Amino acid sequence: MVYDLEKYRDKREKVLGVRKRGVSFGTLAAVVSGIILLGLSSFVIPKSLAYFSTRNLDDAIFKLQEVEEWPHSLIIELKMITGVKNAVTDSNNTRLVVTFDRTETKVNSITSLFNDQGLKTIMLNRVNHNQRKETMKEEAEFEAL
Amino acid sequence: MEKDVHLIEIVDVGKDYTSGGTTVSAVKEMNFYIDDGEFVSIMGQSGAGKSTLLAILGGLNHPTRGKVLVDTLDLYSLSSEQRADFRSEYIGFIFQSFQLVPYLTVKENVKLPMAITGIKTSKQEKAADSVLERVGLADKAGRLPDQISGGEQERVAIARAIVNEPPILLADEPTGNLDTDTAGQVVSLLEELNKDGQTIIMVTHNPELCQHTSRTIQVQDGICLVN
Repeated sequence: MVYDLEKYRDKREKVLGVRKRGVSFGTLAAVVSGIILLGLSSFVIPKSLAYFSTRNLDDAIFKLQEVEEWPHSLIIELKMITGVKNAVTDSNNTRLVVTFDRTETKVNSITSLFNDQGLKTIMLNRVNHNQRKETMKEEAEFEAL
Repeated sequence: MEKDVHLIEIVDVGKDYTSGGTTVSAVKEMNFYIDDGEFVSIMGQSGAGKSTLLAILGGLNHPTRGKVLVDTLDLYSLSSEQRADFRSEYIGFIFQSFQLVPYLTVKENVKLPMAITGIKTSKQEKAADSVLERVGLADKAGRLPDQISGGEQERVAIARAIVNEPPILLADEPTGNLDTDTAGQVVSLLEELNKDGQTIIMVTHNPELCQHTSRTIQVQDGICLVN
């Protein structure tokens, strides 16, 4: 008697898992876990990257003692110092905030540039860059209320 | 030369049980095959190894040695999940004690294997009605098992066993609890199913029942005597 191997092919494939019957619990669990991880990572990864790229940054806040406005050329020169990431004045142009990488440069490098240009300045504060950003954000929220 | 393929092939199968340091061979060494569409009886005295053999064939009892091939699937090299799928796809079981769920109606009992395999409710209804019609119990679909006779309960068990259209029907002493007339009706029903192409393997110790089957495998002390 010749056995017909095609007769129960469907059943055989189901047993061997060649033919899928719906979505298995494992697949469903993997997809749901994937979505949750993706959602979480979309929040966590950018924050982590931002933290790691700014963790060595400090903000030094300076005020002029004699002159009223910060010379524009000074700000350009400041930005050319190795380790200085940014230099901005406040809305009144009275205070200058210099963001620098403390592993690459020191405050002395900045103040010596002021001295070279004959500017008398006073350092009002030096804080961690992220900490200052947080404080400013909280102040902005408080003022908005 | 191409090897002959059969629906079921039992190759050097043996099963030992160890208890208290003593090993007993329930099945010593068996070799036989069963073709698609056969009605085979496995006959032997109590303790000969018939039920152990049936459990091995049904993927329920791992043999100590040897291979069981069903539709070319090496049953005991499959994972336990695959073997569970094998049982639901390939095997219909009929037990001597019927094993019906007492608080489910006849129709609900028949629908049970389909619910387990995830068949749609509408299809379950249609298939259950069809098999109950076939076993002559369409008018008793709403009754509970204890509201029908022993012969009818056995027919419900048969309906439940065939509802998923398994290629193989395994019957363990299907008439053991029935009187002679009712047993004859159940065997006639099995013969009808076999005529329609159903492969049936029936374990019995009643030589009269073997006359209704196309072949008898005689089992004694864990070995096949006559095949």
